[in-house]
Amino acid sequence: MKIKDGFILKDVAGSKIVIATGEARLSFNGVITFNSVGAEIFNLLDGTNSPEEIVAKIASDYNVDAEIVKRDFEALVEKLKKHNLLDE
Amino acid sequence: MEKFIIAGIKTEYNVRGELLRERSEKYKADFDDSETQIKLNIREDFIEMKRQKFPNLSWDEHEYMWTCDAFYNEILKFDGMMLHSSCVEKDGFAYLFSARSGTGKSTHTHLWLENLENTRIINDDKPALFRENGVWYACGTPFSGKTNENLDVKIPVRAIVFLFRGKENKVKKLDNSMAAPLVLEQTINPVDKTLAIKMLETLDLLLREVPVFILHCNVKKDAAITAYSEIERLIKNEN
Repeated sequence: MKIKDGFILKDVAGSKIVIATGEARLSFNGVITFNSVGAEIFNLLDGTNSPEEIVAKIASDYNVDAEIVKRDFEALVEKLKKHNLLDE
Repeated sequence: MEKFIIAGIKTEYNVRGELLRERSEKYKADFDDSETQIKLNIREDFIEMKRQKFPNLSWDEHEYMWTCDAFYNEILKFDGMMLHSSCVEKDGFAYLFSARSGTGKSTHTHLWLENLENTRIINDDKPALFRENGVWYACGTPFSGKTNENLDVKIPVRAIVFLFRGKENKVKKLDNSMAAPLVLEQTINPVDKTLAIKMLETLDLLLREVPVFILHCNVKKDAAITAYSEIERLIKNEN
């Protein structure tokens, strides 16, 4: 599971913004804002981490229960899928 | 190609139609070829292709529009960016009113002209913003939308204001971390990745350094007077 090529995440004056460039623009032409956990998940979705690894890493970084992180992670993945940001 | 100085940038582009010629007139300049900073190469067949695809606009309008688009992509390389807004100057400072088309940006700034002293329009639709020595400036350009209301000047920015229609006139300071999505809806988002990153970096600085407000307003005289006095009051409170 990874974020499609062309999507960029940047901190703009304290808000974490994702926009599409290049070919990704054909399927997405807008702005998504993330909180800091969302942004970290976005960065971890680079194809080198499994969903389980991402959940474990976030749970340990933020010192929260893995079950709670898992629910948030799944909700975020749904959001990313809806906006066409994910390669399966 | 013909030569222009726009927002201080030595620019060259082709002028074929009347609309672009008329709008570009006051920016005409002469400089050595080697000094050119921006060169816009918009081909005739590209304009023709766009005209066939969107035939509700004339050839001249397409030329104007795509030259505008190319120019505002290029200024990103010079730490500049466009904000879709009507920009009014009062007492030497620029106030940019941004909103979706049809909200009444221009209607509002024209209320400033009618009801507030010492005011003029810098660019009625698409001013350029540049940072120079830590100061943000709004610049007139040939690209000002439906009207030719633009001046070849560079004015320090006082505030960016997002405008919404309302019954009452109300101004609210916007937390700058909330402003990025609003600006991104009202600027050109480049397709090129490097340029897009550059744009977000410029926007980051802009939003850290320029106060942003939300204005709900009607179209009465009081809208201009309240907007101006409230923006000023809120800026002074911050400092």
